[in-house]
Amino acid sequence: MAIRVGIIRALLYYRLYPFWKTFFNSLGIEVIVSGKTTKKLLKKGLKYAPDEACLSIKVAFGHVKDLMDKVDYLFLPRLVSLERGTYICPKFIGFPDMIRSAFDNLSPLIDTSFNLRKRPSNLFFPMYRIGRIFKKSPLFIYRAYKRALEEESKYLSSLQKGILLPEVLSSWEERRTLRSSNPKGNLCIALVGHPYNLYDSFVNLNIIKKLEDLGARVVTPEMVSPLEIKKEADKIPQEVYWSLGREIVGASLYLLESKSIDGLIHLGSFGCGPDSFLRELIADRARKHPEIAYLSLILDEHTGEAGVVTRLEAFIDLIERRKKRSIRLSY
Amino acid sequence: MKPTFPHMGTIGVLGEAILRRFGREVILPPKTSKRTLTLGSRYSPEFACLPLKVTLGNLIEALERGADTIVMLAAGGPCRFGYYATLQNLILKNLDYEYELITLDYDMLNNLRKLKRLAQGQNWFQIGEAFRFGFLKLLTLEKMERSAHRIRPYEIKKGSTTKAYDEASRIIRRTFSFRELRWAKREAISLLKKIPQDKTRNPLKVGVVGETYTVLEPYVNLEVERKLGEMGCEVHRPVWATEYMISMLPIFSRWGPRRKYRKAAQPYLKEEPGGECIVSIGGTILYAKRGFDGIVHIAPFTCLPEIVAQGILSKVRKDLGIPILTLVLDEHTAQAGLITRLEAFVDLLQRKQARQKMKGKQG
Repeated sequence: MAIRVGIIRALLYYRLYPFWKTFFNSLGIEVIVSGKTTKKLLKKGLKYAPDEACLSIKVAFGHVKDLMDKVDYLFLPRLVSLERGTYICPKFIGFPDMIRSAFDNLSPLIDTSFNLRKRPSNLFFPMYRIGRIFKKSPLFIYRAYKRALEEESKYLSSLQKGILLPEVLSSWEERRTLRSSNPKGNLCIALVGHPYNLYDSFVNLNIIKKLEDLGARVVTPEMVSPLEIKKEADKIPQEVYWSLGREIVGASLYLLESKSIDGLIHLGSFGCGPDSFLRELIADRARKHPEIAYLSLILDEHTGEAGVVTRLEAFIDLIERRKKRSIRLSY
Repeated sequence: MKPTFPHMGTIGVLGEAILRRFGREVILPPKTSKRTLTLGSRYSPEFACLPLKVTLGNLIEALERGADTIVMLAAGGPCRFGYYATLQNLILKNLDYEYELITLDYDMLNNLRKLKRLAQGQNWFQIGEAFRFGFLKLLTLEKMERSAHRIRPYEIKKGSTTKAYDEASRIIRRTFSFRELRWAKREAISLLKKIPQDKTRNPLKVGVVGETYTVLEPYVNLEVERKLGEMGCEVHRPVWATEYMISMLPIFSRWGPRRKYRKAAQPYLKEEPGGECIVSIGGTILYAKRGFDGIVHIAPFTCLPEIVAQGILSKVRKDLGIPILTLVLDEHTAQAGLITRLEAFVDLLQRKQARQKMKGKQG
């Protein structure tokens, strides 16, 4: 029977899943993903997570609990840094240790450190270490690693085509061609935030669908090219040293400057440290662009659906009214 | 140029001493007060951590007093502290304050250049002496604090230690030369020695661990250490301003004073998540092994590294059987609630101690 490795559908799953999955499958290992976030799952997470933790960590705890008994190995890489000179987030660094402290009788953890802060070319070494856990030969591991890299770059480039991440991910998973949804809405709304908030439709109360129903086209940071992000992020006086945060700020500033959007929504989770600072950086720039509406939403485990709907409707209403008035004024 | 910097417990003493020796007129922010907190939390982001809010309040009050240069540390860690200077700069500029910002970061060469500018053309020897003096002064002050923590549970008249310590620290803070400092030290020690003590008591031993700023700044932690001391606990803590400053230097990142904590925390935490997480965990483990009765863990609300620490400390508590009280502080923390929690905690420890003594007698 093939060895089963569990990957949680939380945190950086939305970004790195194709990479992990290709790597493990090429090694002949089965990958099992935890179920979609549900109320029950979140409740389990709340029980085990430290009570001060941010929503995303609590959700991740729930996913671990969901996956615990189904797999031989639990894959929780310690993501210290994935880019030169940046970190992910202190909680990501301590996450495997927090899990180990919270749960007893855990299946063995794979918590290899990924620290590319000083040498970004070092990605192979942690992958090699993971491969050696399963006693695979170095050449075999290298081939799997190369294949995983290929898949990842393919995945990332297809994200740039202006199609939302969930669609890209499911098409990748099912190995079918992308269904290019021709954008309908006449309003363009940028939705920025950490990927695990943007694409977990339970956590964000299906905000993307709600926006689309209100007649808006949604743009996310993944659709902005890394080059533009870097260009904008470098203009900030001090480099944002959280790599996800850097991406969020860079993308929002780019979108604000490019004037291709009508509104910007920042989606943060309650208790997220980097978010509290990023919001200030983004809001400061948004104030300089009064023609672009700005909304900041904070998600927590109690967020009521009605409240979010009301705020989104008001936001869209505001933009539409503004548009009408500017058309009238231009006559 | 009238430089200022935010308070952080006793670290202000170091900065003041150094800048005064450079011949600068330092404008210290007034003592952290209710107004500081109100000002700070009004202008800072809602979910920012407490230290950011308080230091922002400090800076605003200092600028009101006429300071025109802000000196700040800016580390590049994963913790939010590294971004304070930039964010506060953004907020203060939006409030239309005029000043110059000087940040000291990991770029050591650049730091030296900035120091030279601050030092008004003094030579490197003089700058070195200024730093030596600053550190010596800070060390002396910390020594006084340490002995105050040791004496407090034995004091016969409640509050006499605090009074003596305040006087001693005032004497030390006044000094600005090596000779004055030597005299002040002698005087301060004799002051603390004069406190009447009842040596027959058997106080509880409590460790205070947590995030540096909240542990060091008595206004923010509502004087937890004094309260614990007056409830009859001998307070020890792993977080000290001098050790903190030394561990900020890159050359000491591996070998510095934090090494023992890193070693102790190794089985629980493999990689450092920045901040004082490693010290909180390592300190707790070391204290537990030294037979302490309890640990008080202090963290500001939404502090990233301390949340990790909190998660792991729950396991440490189970493994080593040491009671841990986590206090999460924000701008709304009230005196009464804190006192109740501390009293309950100390009660629990006392009962545990008594039970152990009974067991010892029977066995």
